[in-house]
Amino acid sequence: MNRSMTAAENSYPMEPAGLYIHVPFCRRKCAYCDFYSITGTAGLTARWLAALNLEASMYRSSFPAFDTVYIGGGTPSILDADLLEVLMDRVVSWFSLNNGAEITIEANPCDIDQEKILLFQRMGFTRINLGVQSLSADVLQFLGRSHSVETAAAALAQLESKWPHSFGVDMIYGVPGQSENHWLGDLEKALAFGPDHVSCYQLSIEKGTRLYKLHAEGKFRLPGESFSAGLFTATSDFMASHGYMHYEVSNFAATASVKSRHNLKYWHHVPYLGLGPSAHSFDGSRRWWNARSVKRYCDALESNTAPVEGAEVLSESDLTREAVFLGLRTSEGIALELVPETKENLIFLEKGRHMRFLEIRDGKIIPTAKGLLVADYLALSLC
Amino acid sequence: MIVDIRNFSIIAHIDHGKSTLADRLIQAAGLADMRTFKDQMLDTMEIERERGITIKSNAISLPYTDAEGREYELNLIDTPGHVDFSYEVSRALVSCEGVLLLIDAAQGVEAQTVANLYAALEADLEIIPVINKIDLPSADVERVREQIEIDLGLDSDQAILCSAKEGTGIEDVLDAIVRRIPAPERYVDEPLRALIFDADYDPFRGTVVSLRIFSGRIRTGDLIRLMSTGTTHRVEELGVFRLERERRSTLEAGEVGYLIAGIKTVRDTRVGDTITLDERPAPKPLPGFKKVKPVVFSSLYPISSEDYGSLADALEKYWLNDASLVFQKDSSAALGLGFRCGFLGLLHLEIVQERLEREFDQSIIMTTPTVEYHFELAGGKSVVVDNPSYYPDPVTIERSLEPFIRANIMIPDRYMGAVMELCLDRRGVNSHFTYPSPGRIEVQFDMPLAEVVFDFYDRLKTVTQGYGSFDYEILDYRESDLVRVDILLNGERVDALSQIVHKDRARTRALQACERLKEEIPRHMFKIAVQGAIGGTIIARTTIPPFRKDVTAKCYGGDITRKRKLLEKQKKGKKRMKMIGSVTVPQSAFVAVLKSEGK
Repeated sequence: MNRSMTAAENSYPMEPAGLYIHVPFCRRKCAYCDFYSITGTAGLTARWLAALNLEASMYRSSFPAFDTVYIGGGTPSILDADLLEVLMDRVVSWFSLNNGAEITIEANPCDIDQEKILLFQRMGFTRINLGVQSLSADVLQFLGRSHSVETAAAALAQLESKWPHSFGVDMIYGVPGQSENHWLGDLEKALAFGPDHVSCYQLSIEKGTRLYKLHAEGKFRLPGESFSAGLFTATSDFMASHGYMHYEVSNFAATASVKSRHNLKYWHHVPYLGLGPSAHSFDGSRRWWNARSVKRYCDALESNTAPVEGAEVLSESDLTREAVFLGLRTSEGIALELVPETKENLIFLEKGRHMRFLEIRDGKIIPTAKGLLVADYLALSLC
Repeated sequence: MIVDIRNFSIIAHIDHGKSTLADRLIQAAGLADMRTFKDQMLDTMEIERERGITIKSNAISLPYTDAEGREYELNLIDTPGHVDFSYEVSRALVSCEGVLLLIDAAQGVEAQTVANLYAALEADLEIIPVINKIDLPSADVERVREQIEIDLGLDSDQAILCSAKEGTGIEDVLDAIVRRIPAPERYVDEPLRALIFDADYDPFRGTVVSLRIFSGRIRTGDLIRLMSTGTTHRVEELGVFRLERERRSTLEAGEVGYLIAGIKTVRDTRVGDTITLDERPAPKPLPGFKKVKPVVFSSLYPISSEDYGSLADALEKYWLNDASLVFQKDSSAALGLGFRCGFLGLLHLEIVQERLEREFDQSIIMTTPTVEYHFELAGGKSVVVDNPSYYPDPVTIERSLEPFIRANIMIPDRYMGAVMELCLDRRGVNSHFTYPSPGRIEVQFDMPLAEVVFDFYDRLKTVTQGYGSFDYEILDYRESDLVRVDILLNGERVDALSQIVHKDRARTRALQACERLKEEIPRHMFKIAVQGAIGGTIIARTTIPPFRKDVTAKCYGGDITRKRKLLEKQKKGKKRMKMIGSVTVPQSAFVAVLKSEGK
């Protein structure tokens, strides 16, 4: 086995980098969300955008071209037309975009109307990802979402009828008290609008969120492991029966061409540039991350310093380890070469194959749907 | 000028303030100033300082001038407190003429206080009771005085009050040492007899022997003879202990000091042996020498089999400094090549394990500890078994014998019921009670060693809410109905987890072992059956359910670093595990099977 190849060289040759831009503003914080954002725009959007522009200019030479752009957050759809215009026409245009680049924006159902759809279209977006999360009022309330079931359904209907490109939907399941039928019923309602892409995230409790506090106080309990596992499998089966490919732990696509190309870059261990507060970047050997504060982020850039608050240089073994656990999250799996040929690993692979957690074909270790459910365990065992 | 000498030791129950008092005496002698002083001066090992215990004997000579201007050399011999090291303690004690018997003013007399007192009485020492920690709000000096009179049979008017922490009463302690402890006899003209009470390994000088000279004198250059082995060595260096070693050209009767004589390893010397001069040997060695025998046995294996050589080196090096560890090569079907080791007790075992890991950077698996059993077999043969793997074919066994101890337990009387229950549960027999003072009971039980060496002390502490104290002495071997309980993981016997137990206890112990393993072994992607068996008969069973789900829902650009770090941490944890068949077993599992209660 050739142990000197890095993951990026080995599995996904020559894949261009992705650009991520973090919009750190929300109307309100959702109870489960630990992404960095501040509530309200606090008159900071113009300042943030100016800083963002400065930051983009710094990376012009090191990241010349991208073939995906992802505007995430926070709530990017909160930005009004002129700000969005500056973002796309000035910030993004520091870089060259390849032909046929995938350009995604995340949107909250409250923001989707005919006008917004036209704006997104004019701005050149090729993909909208809608944060629906649930089509049940009680679940939306538990999650602390700002929109109603009706608003979500209306936004979906708009996208279905007016949006000419592909769109994705984010859903959350495994909420306390939610039965399997209840969840699949919700999911079916969302599928009725014909999304090209669906992300189904099993609820997890993250530090610093409202749910974390409530959970620590014993206000609710998460479903048990066995039930959660059942939900995961039921979701995978349900999506398959509706023609969606389960291509990553939490992601489903109607066809191969509508997989999230941007997110695949993370799992393929391809370089990405993240701009904005709290955004992470990776150039193939080094990873760095920005200040998790709009103020500190702006202060740094306004005094001509990079807003970077942490960095690490990844060793060859760090890179391999990342490639293994990231790759094992996808239905593409990882190259067999990434796994050392030790006695323990060989025993494990044989056992894993026997138990149908994974398959080995074309020089790859490929997790089955059952394997995706224990992807972290597979990674721990193999790297 | 001839300086007066006093040789003494401090004995105390754990946490009664022995090391703090030693620190104060060192400071009073002017050996350590503010700059060089640190707590627990005499406990030089990291593990001693961390756990607040003394593992090895240590000596220091303290210069002292009394109120009348008379100069003294006060030799303090610090001893371990734990029952595992009782032989070392006894040798250190006979090197003294007197002891400070330290008692916590709040806790009062404890089991180890009594045990220590007996050891001091046996060595015929002058005993000075010292009541420490009188500054505590909960101090009850009158109650302790009463206990000194009644429990210990000593004159409580003679007790000295002090607070080593606050530094009060230290002058009274020093004064009592010189007034009440007799000066050593100084038979300088008789043949040399020096008692080895400790030995240390210095990588540059070889073995440094700690000794007390009872008669005669030694000079640098003398040819000495170790009386138990007859080997001779040329004396390279002599001296006394300050904070560092301080050279002298001569040591003579009554003195305590060290000797370096080109002795390569600590095990070439034996604690308790007598040193004499080759050209004018003493007719008889000093009494009391014995070879210490291990009482607890366990095997050591490297976690990764390629580290066997490195473990062998580490053990050899460790052994240079701790001759009480006994080891020989061993092999296990489950764990590969390793070493069978004998220890003085469970604390000694834990210390060896910890020091090998810390000071020698070894990752090791230690198998289920056991005691030594005797089996009389058909045809008049008999075997000694310290490893369950060598348990004889049951059909050939005519009699089985196991070691018994006498446990001395001291408790406030309200815990009587709980302690009785615990002792009976551990197969205690021949109970005997005394009521040394109102409200306190001393309980004696004869018990199998196997029932007490593991978690008995922990259990006692639990059922007595920390008030119980415990000490034991080895009695004899007694007939017992023994069987071997095997543990099977997914049907495969793991030899390293077998234990020899009393037949009546087999099912309970097997079930305990299965339950502990269920807690210790992480879940796998498959179900693991954990079974206890005697021969082919399954007597206990638990199941470790498989993982159903182990994956984070989200993993995007900002999650990767955190996720990798978590994985690295988990990976490190896995390094402390051993693959047995297809099951990964953590290091902690092997000792955990003996514990009666979970974490």
